[in-house]
Amino acid sequence: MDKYHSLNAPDHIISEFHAGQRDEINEIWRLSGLSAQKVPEYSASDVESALNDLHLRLEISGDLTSTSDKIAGWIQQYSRVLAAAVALIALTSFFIFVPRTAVVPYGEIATLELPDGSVIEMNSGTEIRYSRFYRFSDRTIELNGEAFFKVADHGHPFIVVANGVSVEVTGTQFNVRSWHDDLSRETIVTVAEGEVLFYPMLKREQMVVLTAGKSSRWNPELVQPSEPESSLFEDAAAWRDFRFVFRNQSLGSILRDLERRFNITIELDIPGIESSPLTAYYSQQVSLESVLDDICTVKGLRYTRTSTGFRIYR
Amino acid sequence: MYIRQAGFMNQTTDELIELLAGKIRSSDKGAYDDFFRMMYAKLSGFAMTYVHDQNLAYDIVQDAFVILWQRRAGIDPDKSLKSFMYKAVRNRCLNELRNRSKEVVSSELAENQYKNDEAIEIESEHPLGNHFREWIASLPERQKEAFELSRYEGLNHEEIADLMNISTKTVNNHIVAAMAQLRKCYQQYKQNNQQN
Repeated sequence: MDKYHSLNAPDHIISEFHAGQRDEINEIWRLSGLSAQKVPEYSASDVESALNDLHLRLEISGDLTSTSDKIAGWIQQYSRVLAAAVALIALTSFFIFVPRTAVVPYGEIATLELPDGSVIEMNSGTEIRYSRFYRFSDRTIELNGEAFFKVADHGHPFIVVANGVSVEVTGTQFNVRSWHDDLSRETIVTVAEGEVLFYPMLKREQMVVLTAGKSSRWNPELVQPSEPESSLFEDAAAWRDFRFVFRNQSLGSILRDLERRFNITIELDIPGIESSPLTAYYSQQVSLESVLDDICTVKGLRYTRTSTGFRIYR
Repeated sequence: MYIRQAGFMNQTTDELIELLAGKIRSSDKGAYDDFFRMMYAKLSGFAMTYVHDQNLAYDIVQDAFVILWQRRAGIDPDKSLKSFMYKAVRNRCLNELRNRSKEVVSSELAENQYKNDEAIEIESEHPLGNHFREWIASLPERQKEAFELSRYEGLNHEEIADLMNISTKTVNNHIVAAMAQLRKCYQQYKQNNQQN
């Protein structure tokens, strides 16, 4: 409500009243803010899911109408013969314009080869979307999760879009981590080979150029992605060997990684501890219990089994 | 003449919308998505003020954004994209209400019913909030709408003019008349309170 209190009525309204009445008019303007309807509150994921619904509708309705527009003239002449054909075209375009989606089940890592020869390796729980016209139009991939990209160089850009940020390349190898359920909606890009442009969506002028062995991160609080810093690519891509490397990663985000990797649920019963950072390095595959042991030792916590996984408590 | 108004939709937001409008016009899906994220809560709230039904408001806002994408090539760079969206939402809301009112005996009945619903739904903590709500509800329909768009949706006169299909001068007249009426109500209220 606060935002309604400091306002004066617009000048064009004020100027219609006598000088002696203006203070009172401003007061009424302010007070009327008391009866403002509250703007509904939506979480980021509410908005994204509404946006997703919208995308689906657009892919279905928008392209159907354009198909029937083009052949409208014909239909009058050959209506009966064409009715079936139109239905067929409509059905086909319905199919064509729904983007391809790939989701990796929890507990697994998946590799996908795209029509242009680019290869995407995806961590457990990762989801990507791309157009069925991928090869012919733009090479854009929507990412929710973590993936390693080996991009075939065809001269035109390949773009990964995730959590409001774009990663643009021509032909290179790099890792992107960007989970929609991350508390700060952070995206981390680490480059193995070649050159990568990293910038908040629509703000290409804010771009940071990353070369091999460099990484940068961005979240919606930042204007520009962070200054490129040296970074071990093997650490960023440790997940590809089913290993874990946590560098100053928040406990909440680490537990999400574990949940996805081991396909279990982990309850955390201690309020406020999710954002507490932790660093741990594993040079080989380890069991879930040994990671939980380490976390609990460092943070002074305990854990117990539940029907679906584990519960961490103090 | 472009009248800018102090409000919570500040100038930088307006500038950003203008920038997005240009990109949406040239079929930039990312810009379209960003615009959606930016306007979603506002437009949903706005739709709710008409239809008082969350599912319906959801559909209406979705419809409005579908229209935006379908007509993106025709976006007028001189006009506010914000008012385009408000207009699309408002038209759909009014259609809905019209359709509904056919189901009820008369539109007047329906209107009263919604007013009652509204009174139950929102109860302001500040007693004056409820008084203002009553006073605003009793304003003539067009005055009320112009006032609410200006006061609660943060639209400027040009945007309201575009939306309501009237001149900016008329917009101003409506709001000035509304303010004068609210002033009367408020003065009467203060007088009554002093007597008690």
